[in-house]
Amino acid sequence: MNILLDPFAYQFFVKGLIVATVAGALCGLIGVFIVLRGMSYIGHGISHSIFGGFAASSIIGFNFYLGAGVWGIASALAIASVTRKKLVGADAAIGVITMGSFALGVALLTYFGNKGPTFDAALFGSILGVRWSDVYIIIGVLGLALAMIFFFYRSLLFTTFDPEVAATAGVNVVRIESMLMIVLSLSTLVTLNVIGVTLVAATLVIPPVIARLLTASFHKLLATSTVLGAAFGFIGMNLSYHLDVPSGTTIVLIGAIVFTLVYVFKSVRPSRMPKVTM
Amino acid sequence: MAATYGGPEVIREISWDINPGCFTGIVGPSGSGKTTLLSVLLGTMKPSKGTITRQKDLAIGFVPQMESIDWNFPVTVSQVVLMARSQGLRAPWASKQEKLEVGKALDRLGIGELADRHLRTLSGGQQQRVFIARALIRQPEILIMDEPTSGLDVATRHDMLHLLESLQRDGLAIVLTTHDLNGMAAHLPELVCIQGRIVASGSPEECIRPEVLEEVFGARMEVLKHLGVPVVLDELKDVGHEYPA
Repeated sequence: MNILLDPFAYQFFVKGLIVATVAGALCGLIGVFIVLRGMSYIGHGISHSIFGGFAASSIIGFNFYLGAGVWGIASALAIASVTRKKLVGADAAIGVITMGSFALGVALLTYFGNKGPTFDAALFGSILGVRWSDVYIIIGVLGLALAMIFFFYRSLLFTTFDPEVAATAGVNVVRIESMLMIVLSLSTLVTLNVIGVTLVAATLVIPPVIARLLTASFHKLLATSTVLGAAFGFIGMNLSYHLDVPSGTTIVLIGAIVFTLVYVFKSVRPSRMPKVTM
Repeated sequence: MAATYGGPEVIREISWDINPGCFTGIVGPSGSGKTTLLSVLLGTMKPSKGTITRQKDLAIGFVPQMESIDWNFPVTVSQVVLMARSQGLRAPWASKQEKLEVGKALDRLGIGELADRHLRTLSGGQQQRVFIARALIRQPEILIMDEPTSGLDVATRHDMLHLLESLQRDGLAIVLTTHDLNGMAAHLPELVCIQGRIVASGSPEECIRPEVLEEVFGARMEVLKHLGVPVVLDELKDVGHEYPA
C-alpha cells in the first residue's frame, strides 16, 4: 500500500496527477463533439499546429500559453472556415494547415535553437515542469468548457448532428463552431505539458469512442467520456511513476487497453440499442 | 434569379412565386439544380443574380434528405424534435412546455409512442416523420423538403404523400424536390420542372408531357393517362447513349 502512496509525497507528482486527471476529463468531454463530427484527426492536427506556436514563442521568449494559444486558435478557426466552404474536405484542411504549422515549428527550432521547454518534453509530455499556475489554468479551461456546454448544449448538439439544418433553423452555426474550436485549442494547449504533442489526440478520441460503445444517449455519452478520460489520466499518471515511462504513453495505453476490452466484449455480446429518456 | 458555386451558373433565369398554402414539387434529374434552388429558398446560399423577396418574419421548416443523416448518432426521437428549439441561450433539458410541444408534434404525425426510441431503430417512414415533426414544431408557414420520398417503398411513399396532403389542407405551404414523377403527378397539384432553368411549371397535365420531360431528363419518355392522371412509363425511348457490347 505504501508503494502506491509513495509518489504522493512529491509535490511535482501531485501537481502532475491533478493536471493529468483534469486534462483527461477535459479532453474526454470535448472529444465527444470532435468524434461525432467525424473530425477525430483534428486533435492530432491542432497539437502539431500548436507546436509551431511553441517554437515561435520559445525563440522570441514570449509567454508559451499566449503564443501557442493564439497560434492554435488561429489554426483551428482556419480549419473550421476551410471545412465550411467545402472546397476541400475536413481531413485535407486539417492536414495542410496543421502539418504546415508543425513543419514551420521544427524549422524555426532547428534554425534558431530552443530557449524554452525541451523538444522531448513538448513531444511526449513531462510532469517535471508542471507548476501550480498550470493546475489553475487547466481547471479554468475545464470550467470554460463546462460553461460552454451548459449554455449552448442544444446548439452544440444540433450543429454536431446536422449543421446545415441548424443554420436554417436560426442557430448561429459559425459562432458555435468557432467557440468549439477555441475551447478545443485551449484544451489541447493546456494538456500538452503532461501528454505531449504526439499523443494528445488519443486523449480526445479514445474516451468518447469507448463511451459510444456503452451508451446511445448523448448526455450519458458526455458524462461517461468525461469520467473515462479522468480515470485514464489518474491511473496512467500513477503507472507512469511506477514504471518510469513518460506520462503520455501510460495514459494513452490504459485507454487503448480499455477500448480493446470493451470492443471485444461488445462484439461477443452485442446488445440492443438501449432505451433512453430526454 | 441565378446561383453559382463559383463556376458556371447552376440555376439561371429563375422567376417563381411561392404562394401561401401551395403544394409544389420541384422535378428534375440529379444535377439539375433542385438542391441549389432549395438552398437559395432557405437562405443558406445567396443568389449571384437577382433577388429573393420573402414575406416579413416568414417561418420556414426544412426537412433534409434522409441520406444525409448519421443514423448512429446517439439521439432519441424527442431529442431530435427538440433540436428545433436551439436558438440562443437555453437550459440543456426540456421545459414542461417544450415536452408538451414535442409530444403534440409527434402525436400529430402518429409517432407519439416512439418519443424515447433511438432514431436507428425506426422504419424509413417513421424516421421521415421525426424530421417533419422537428420542422413543424417551429410552426412554419412553409415546409421545404429535399427528396422526402427517396428510399421509401411504394406503400410508405403514398402514406407520406397523404400525410403531406393533410398538412397542406391545414394551411401549410409545402415545396419539395423529387425524382418520382408518377408519385408527384398523382398527389401534387403543381409541379416545377427544372434543368438549370424552369422548363415548365403548372399542373401535372401541363408539365408531364414528352417534350418537357425530354428537355428536363434528356430522354424521350412515353406518357399515358390513367384515371385522368399522367403516368410516365419507366422505359426510355431514344436515349441516345451507345454502350460497347
